[in-house]
Amino acid sequence: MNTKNTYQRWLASLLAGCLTLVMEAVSAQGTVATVAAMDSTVVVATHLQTIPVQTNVAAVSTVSGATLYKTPVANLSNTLYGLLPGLTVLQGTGEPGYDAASLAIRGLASYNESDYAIFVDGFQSNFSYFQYLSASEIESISVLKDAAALATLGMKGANGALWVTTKRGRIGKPAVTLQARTGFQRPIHINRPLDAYGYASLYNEAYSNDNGRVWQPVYSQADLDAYRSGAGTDVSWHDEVLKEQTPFTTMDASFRGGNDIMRYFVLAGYMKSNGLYDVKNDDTHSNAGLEQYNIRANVDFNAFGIFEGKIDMGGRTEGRRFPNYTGAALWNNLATYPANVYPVQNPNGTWTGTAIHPDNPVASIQTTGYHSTHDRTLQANFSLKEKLDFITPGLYLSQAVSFSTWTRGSYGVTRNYARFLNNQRQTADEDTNFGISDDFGTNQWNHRQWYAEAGYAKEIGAHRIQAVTNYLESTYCIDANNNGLAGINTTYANRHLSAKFHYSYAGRYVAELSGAYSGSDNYAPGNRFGLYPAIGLGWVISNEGFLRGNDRLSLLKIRASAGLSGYDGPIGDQRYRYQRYYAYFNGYPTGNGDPTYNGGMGLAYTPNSQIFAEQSLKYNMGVDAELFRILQFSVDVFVDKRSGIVSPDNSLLAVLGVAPPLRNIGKVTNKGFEATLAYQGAIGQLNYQLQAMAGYATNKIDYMAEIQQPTPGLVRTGRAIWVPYGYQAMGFYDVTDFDANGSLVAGLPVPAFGDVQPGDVRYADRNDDGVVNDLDLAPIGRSFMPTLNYTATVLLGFKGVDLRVLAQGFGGRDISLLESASQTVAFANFGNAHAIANDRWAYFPDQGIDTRAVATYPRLSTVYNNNNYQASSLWIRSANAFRIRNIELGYEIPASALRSVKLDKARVYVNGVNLFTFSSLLETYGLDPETLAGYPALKSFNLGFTVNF
Amino acid sequence: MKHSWFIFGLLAVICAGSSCQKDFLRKPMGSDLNVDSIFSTRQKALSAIAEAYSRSLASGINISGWDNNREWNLRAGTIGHLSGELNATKFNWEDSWLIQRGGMVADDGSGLARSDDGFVFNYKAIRQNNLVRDNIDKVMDMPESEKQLIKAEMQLLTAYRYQEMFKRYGGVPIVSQTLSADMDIKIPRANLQETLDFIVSQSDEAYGLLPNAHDRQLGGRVTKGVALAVKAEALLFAARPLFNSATPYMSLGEHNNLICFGDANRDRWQQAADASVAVIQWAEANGYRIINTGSPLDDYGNAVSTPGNAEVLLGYKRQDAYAVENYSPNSQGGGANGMSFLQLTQYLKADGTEQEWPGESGASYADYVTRIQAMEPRYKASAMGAGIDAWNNPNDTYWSSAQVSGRSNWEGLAGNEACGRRVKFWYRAGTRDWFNFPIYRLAEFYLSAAEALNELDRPQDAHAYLNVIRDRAGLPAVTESNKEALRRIIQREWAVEFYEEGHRLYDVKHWRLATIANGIIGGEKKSFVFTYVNGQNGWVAADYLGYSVQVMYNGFWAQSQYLSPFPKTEINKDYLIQNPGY
Repeated sequence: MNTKNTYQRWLASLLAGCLTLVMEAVSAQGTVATVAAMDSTVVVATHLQTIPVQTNVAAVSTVSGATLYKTPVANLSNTLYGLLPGLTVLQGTGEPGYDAASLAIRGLASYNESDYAIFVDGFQSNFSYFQYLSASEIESISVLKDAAALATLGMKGANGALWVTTKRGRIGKPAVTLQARTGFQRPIHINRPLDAYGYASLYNEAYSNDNGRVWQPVYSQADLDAYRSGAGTDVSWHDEVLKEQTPFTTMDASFRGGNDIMRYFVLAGYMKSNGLYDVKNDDTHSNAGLEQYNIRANVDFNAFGIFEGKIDMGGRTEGRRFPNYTGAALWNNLATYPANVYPVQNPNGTWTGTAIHPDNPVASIQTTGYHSTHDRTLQANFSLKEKLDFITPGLYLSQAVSFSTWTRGSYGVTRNYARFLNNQRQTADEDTNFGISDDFGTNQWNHRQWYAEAGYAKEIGAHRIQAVTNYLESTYCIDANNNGLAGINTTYANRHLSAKFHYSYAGRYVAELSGAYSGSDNYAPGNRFGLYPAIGLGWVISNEGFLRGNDRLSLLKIRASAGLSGYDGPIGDQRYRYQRYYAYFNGYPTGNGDPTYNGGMGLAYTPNSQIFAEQSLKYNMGVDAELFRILQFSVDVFVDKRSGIVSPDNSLLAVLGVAPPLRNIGKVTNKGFEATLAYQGAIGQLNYQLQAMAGYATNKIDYMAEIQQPTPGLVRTGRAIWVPYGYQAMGFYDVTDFDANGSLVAGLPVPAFGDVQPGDVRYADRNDDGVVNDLDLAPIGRSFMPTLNYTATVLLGFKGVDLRVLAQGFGGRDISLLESASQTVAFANFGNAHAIANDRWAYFPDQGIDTRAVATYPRLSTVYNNNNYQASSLWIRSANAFRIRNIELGYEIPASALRSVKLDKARVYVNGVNLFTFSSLLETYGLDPETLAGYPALKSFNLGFTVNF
Repeated sequence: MKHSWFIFGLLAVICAGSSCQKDFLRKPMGSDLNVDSIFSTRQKALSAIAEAYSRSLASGINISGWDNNREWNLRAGTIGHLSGELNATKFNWEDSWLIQRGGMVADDGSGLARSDDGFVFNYKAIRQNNLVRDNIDKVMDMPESEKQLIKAEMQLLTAYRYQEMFKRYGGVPIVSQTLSADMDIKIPRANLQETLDFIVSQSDEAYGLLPNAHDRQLGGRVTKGVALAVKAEALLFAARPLFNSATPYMSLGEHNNLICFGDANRDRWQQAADASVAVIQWAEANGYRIINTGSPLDDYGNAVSTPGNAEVLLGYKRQDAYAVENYSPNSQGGGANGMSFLQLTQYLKADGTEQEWPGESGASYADYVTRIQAMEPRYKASAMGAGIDAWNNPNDTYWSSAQVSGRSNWEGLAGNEACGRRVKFWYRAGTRDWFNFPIYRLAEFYLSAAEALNELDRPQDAHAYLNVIRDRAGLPAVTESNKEALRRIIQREWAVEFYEEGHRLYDVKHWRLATIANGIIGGEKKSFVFTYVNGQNGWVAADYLGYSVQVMYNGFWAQSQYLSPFPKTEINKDYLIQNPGY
């Protein structure tokens, strides 16, 4: 949705770009300002050019850093919920330092990896740099979505791009901003397992079920009574390990100003996010935590009326600390260690633990030491522009270089401990002294880029021309151990010639041609470059004579774009797939009596000299309008035809004797829309603004040279990407489904997963062959990627008081409950039972247990049941959610009160993040719809102030 | 003018930037391997040769752990499970379990065949052989004689792989050059005779070039004797009744010649006999022998297990505990499924008489111990009794009943004994993970010769070869001269002597035994079932109460199973004719 960009006005922008400005207007003046619809100072900044919003034809959504700052969270990706139409943001865990959300631009358009590009201040960067940028140093983030915005990125553009711009100096007296905020974070929800009584009661059932459904309780009535009365062991591991809440703080100070010669923006920031573990911080213990310092210095200077220079430095250090026990494993233990497994400690103070449940969760955080990592990140850019107006007005050249680098070192103080129970050693672990671990900083990447550019901009009468061409070379190097499957091929080189020509006539007709000739070292000589052209057209109808000056329809613009972009991602598990590759294999020993091993070397795969980047052909159409100067809306409709997706060509014959080569043969269609709507008004002194936006994307695999599938149900072609496959559950077997010997009665299909008994899941025999097996698999739900994202925002201003509520939701997403197996699969692997298991099928009439009529969960078993936990429709749930992501109530202290203390502005506020979540998954099963397992996502309550002087 | 100067300047900057880095997008050298670097030196070329051996000889030997793509072989389990030597009672996701109950299929759900062979991988092995053959001349520091020798080795490995396909599929596509994707590679199946002729001619050619022995450190590479063995095995399968028949086991219409010679020709037995005798004569002239020191358990144990022993012409060498888990009782995969009752009843008592076993009603554990201890030495060298420490690893706690029974406890702690735990390839093994699976063991050719000579109505000549094997096993000599009776004796000798060595599955099919559907592969699968003291799990003798013979499950058999299916994905590519019934 580039709608907001198209507007000229601050208010009009629902999309991000202007929200901040709106808020500033609201808070500063207590009124919603009305601005001319065609403010020529509002621009859309994308690759190569900055275009006045009125003649922009590309699909670009923008949000300001000030808006992002309104969500007090550690990770920048978690500030993006609901602010950029077309950007899907899926929440991850809340673990400090590992709390990134996953992002996708316009859904999924490829069944291969489909990474979007990130640019910071015009140079390509990556997520590791992006994720802990401070909102205070960011001017704006745009998401580039259509061919008009992406074609110049060539083979980096197919999956969209995030375009980050940091703050720069402004001409004026030095302005100082001090900001601080602090608050408490709590889990959104913790799904606690059953207590000892609940666990033992169900375990008796599970054991009896496994015992041929003959009642044989493991826990006697006396045991159960003891659990009930509190006399038995009944540990809530979550309560023992976790604190109720944990602090979060950010602070920053910035200086901004400048004159004709030099402008500057300088910021120093600090952020600390603590973990939830109830453990002290000292030389041998540590809570989880992330502590970060960052510095930004952006300087612009002019010289001799010709040169314009820019120096940007953004650096930070990130220190992570955590107990010397993996977070994921700890949270798994919290979920799976039963309440009655053992007390927290033995009476003599030694740690408890058993061979089956070795890692007492409390001991894991209290006595194993800690581990820490220290990350250093720097991006440094220098550019010089020569204005050649003395040759011909509007001509310039520029050159720029960028270096960015990251390293991580790690350090730990670690020990092991002995496990006892009933005065017996339970494992071979010993109490050891603390040891030191240090990896001497082996993790790193660095990225070098330079470009040379020539541009020309001129207005001749009603004609306005902007033209630019740019030549870029980029080298990205990464450690082999961080290079994923590409291993030792650690250098990524790209060379890139791009150009853009923007033309408008009288602010009414716009035509834009852009494109790139883009090359990568991934491909064969002679086949390294691709051409990616695009065209964009716009018609600003409201600037036509018959509408001009009309107050009812102050803006009406239609725009369209079409063009190509590519994706130069890793291909399978190797790079350079054009070369004949040999690799080490099994090898073979020779020699009798004293055998020696000989390494084996053979053909790893068939090369494909024609292998190339995946290609995207994107179409986009948009309409932007404003009615009565109070109602703005914008709609974008898009189609992304993906082709050349690298896939194994399974049509080649076995006699060839090699694995099928990878070829550019896959095709996917992705289409959808984005819409935004904004309305503002006032009732007396109450100013209000309502905003809504929605993004929708749906995809279909058109071709993927699929291997032949045995049943139509398993065919992926023609279906959406990442559709889950499984069996159709038909409820549970009843006692009447079995004969006297316990065998299934004749005529019922036999599942191929082992013997079944009453209460086991019954599956549909889709192909009626009498057996339930692979041939009965079919799609059972929708992909985890939501098709619909939507947002509603309310802004209120009354005198100095302002209120903002941001609600965000998503739909069209399914998950399987088995994805959080630690909380949904009862008793497996000596695990635990959660409330979901209370809905189990059970029939022990002598004990008065009969849940047959209401059961929604299969009969319990003490071990993993191969039949019941197959992927099936029984476990598929809609994972839609609607969350109140952010509520902020602020007060702007009146200027009259500030004069005496020489402050320009001061604002205090309270803020709540993720305070409310509406999700059937959460209500029914206690599972967060996005963060299904592990360290929970967080909500927070914060207090903050901003002072300017 | 100034104008153009600046544009020129700009272009100059760009050109300078790019021309000085002409190789900017060049792939860095790295440590990538290409065909030229591999065949640059002898040492590197040896790696390619090692890979050719590793691939080519893996046929039918499941050393790949969990082979998800069914590329090398079965996805868990061994050929011995399919033939009924072992029962597949545990692990219902393993191919051996599935094939025992549902037969081999051309399509396992993903278009791959679920069968005794990863068809596609045959051609990967052959391609590797051709790669070495075609490029070995590039090696700078290798004498010409060694290059010729290596070419012959590759030729023979390819012949071996075709022989392995021949007995499984009948006629198969013959690929004699390195194919590339842009060639016309729709090579159809050669007919049975052409396939046989190819194997024989390749073996003969290789025979002429190969040495009688390699340097000690190259032991395990193929020799003249292996060339003779490949030929002898192919000719034996050509003589047996499945192929050597006027009509095939199921009709393929006009393509019958892919799975049948079209006539029953006694000459094929003569060729088989001659070829087997040739192996024996070569072997005895070159230091190989049937190990017979008068201590049958040790002699047989050494012959089937000790690396580089005097009886093995070619073995599959492996030193990797994980890779051999399908064969080791000390792992979950190898330890869970033991010997079948049918296999147990192939063995005689040590005195050469039949053992009687109780039926379903069972008997005491003491009875079991008495009867099992009376079995012939080859049983004791191949199996481990319930509650009894391994006979073939005496006084080794690693091979005690308590140890071994505790290592294969998946899906329950008890019930893995069957009619004997699998210890055949681990004679006096200690904790070694060295594994030397016999591919061509000299005893094979004694039995081949005996089988062929009996078919040629020369029972005395057959006895001469058969009794060498019987004598080593400590059993009395055979004197039976009735052809049918002697055939049964020889077939039983095959079953005992080559238990778990991957022969039985193809023997029973190519013999077309009448009972194949009723007990061998199809029909009731029986085993010992033990009862235990007081909930014990059978770790030591004191845990046991009694035993009985029970039907564990019903095996699957259909006529189509005589030969293996080609994968459905390959059939769909329209160049192969599927074997009948799939």
